[in-house]
Amino acid sequence: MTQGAVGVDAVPTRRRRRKRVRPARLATQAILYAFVLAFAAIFVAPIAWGFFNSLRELHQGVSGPVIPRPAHWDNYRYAWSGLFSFSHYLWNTVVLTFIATVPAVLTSAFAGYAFARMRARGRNTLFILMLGTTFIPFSIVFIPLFWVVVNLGMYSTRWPWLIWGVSGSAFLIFLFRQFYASFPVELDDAAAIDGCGHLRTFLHIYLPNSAGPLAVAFVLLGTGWWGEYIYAALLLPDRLLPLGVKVATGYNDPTAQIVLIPATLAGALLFTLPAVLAFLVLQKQLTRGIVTTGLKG
Amino acid sequence: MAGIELQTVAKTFPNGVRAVDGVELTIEDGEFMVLVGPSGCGKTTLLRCIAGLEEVTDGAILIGDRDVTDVNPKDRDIAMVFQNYALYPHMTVRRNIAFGLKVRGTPRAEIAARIAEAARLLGLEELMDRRPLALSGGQRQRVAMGRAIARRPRVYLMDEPLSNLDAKLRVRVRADLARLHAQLGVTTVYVTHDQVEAMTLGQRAAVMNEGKIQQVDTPQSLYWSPVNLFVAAFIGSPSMNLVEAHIADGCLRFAGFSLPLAELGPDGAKLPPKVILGIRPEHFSEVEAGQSPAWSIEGEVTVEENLGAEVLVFFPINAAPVETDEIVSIRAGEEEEALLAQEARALFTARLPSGTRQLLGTKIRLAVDPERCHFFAPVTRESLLTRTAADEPIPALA
Repeated sequence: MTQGAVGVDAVPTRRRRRKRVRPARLATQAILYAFVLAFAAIFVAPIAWGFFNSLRELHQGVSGPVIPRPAHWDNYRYAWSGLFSFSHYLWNTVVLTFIATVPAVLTSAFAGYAFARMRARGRNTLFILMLGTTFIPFSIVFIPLFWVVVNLGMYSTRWPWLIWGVSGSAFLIFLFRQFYASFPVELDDAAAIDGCGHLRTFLHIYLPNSAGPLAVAFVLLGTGWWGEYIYAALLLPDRLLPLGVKVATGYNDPTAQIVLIPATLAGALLFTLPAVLAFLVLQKQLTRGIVTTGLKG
Repeated sequence: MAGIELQTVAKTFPNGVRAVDGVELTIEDGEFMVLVGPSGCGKTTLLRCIAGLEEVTDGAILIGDRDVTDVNPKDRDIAMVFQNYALYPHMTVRRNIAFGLKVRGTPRAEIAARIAEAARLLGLEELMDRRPLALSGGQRQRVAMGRAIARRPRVYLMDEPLSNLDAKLRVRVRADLARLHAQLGVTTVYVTHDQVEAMTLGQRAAVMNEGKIQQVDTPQSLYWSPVNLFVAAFIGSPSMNLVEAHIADGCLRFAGFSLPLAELGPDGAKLPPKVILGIRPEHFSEVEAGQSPAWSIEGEVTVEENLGAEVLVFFPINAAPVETDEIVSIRAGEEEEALLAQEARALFTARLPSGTRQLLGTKIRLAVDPERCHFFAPVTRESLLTRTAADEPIPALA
């Protein structure tokens, strides 16, 4: 007999009480689950629709049964190399996302540290002003920003993305400030006595302990820039365009002059894949970050 | 190593709070000095001023012969141990100890040697590759000490380093700290609100209240010869019994008791008509049948706490409790912990040898040794009679 079995036999017999679930509670839970599932379906349905339609015959459009037979998996190969170099525009997207995201996250983290820890006259006023910028609608700044970029001679270049990156993000600054404000001040004191100035304290003590908010920041900002459309479509020439813009406009049949919708959808799904993967990889850190930064309502 | 000199050091915060108010203090080279006082008395702020973590508003701080008033913390050649240890959470014990040395550009071989030395001294060898989260409170405390020791500074500053440990561990670490200081001989400034730590660790202790040093002396002197009401009430546990008394017809009168002043000898004549009388709980003794001491009081025991070798008895007397600012300030920290509201009558405490007799609910008569009574001026709160330190140990602080 196994040890486990001996153990079970040795336990004095006690009637196990089965937890009774009340009908009212059961009904509430059923309604709740139904609501959640319906809500999830709203978000999943377009992706499923896109996926099934990406498997139709290249010139078919979106008509026919929901699940196409046969499935044209070749559309994905066509999307990758049929009309333009998918990898070239994918690389463009990577570059634009990188130069707009990585500096922004680092700058925002440092600014968040400064707002949380550095004593300066007017610090709180500046912080409120900075937060106030997040309330300015995009439609107001859009045209002036275009004008500025053109007049600075940055039209048709990637410079604006780098500048936006270096400038940081008001929301991320807020996020990091909230996170760093919860650090024990004694850590700063210990670092100061160990010989660190602010920069070294930030780089050696604060930043290595910021995995959660860093993940949140990279995912939030990164996915934003990954799918960014308007600035790219407006400011960049075709050779520098990111994939998002190219996929939306590039799958036209050269002879029939029609949009190849299945190829477009296949390209769009391929384009989305890296962002989904990034989310899956960073999911654990992301959840922790959302909890530690108090982002959760 | 180096001594520390504080010259009229003051610190006023931007909100107007004057946390440290003209502190003058000389700490000898190699001395273990304790800054003790109730919460909010300014002891931690003073320590942070010495560390350079707070800028002083006025005065000067000298470490050795060097004026460090405007010197950065890293250049003061000090090491600090914090209440919550302040270990870097992402670093192993080894890296925590090495960090300060690395930042200062200490050669690698030297860092390794110092880490090994600190680890050996504090028994950290087994823990070197662990992170703080995987350590117990006591182990974290040792790592924090290790970090300070490895730096080989001229001065150690410790901010309530034992307060996060449980009571049993605290006693052990307290003894270890005393041993460590004896071994290293480095000047140490130790902040605590716990008078047991102050009395057991400090070669001298500075009792602080409202940003000012009330008395700097050896633990024995603080206990036997407090210079004022605050020190008298703060040092000793249970606290000194205090009551307002007046002098009439050659007797000291309070709560219906009348104690002949002649027992005080020539000192009796020095007392003004009104005084605050202070009697430590351990300076009562039970009056046996047939005895008739000149100074005695009586009361009904309302609470009895048997501590094994001794018993604490609490009995109210017919007088109002002394409610000076000092007492209020001392009690402020304890108030939140108190279960019952303050009584209208003063509650006296006596520490008696444990006997077989149950005292609760009974009337007891207690003799008072006039030589061990303290007298304070009601207005200035200064001690009116000089008491010399008795050549006997201070009773265990409960």
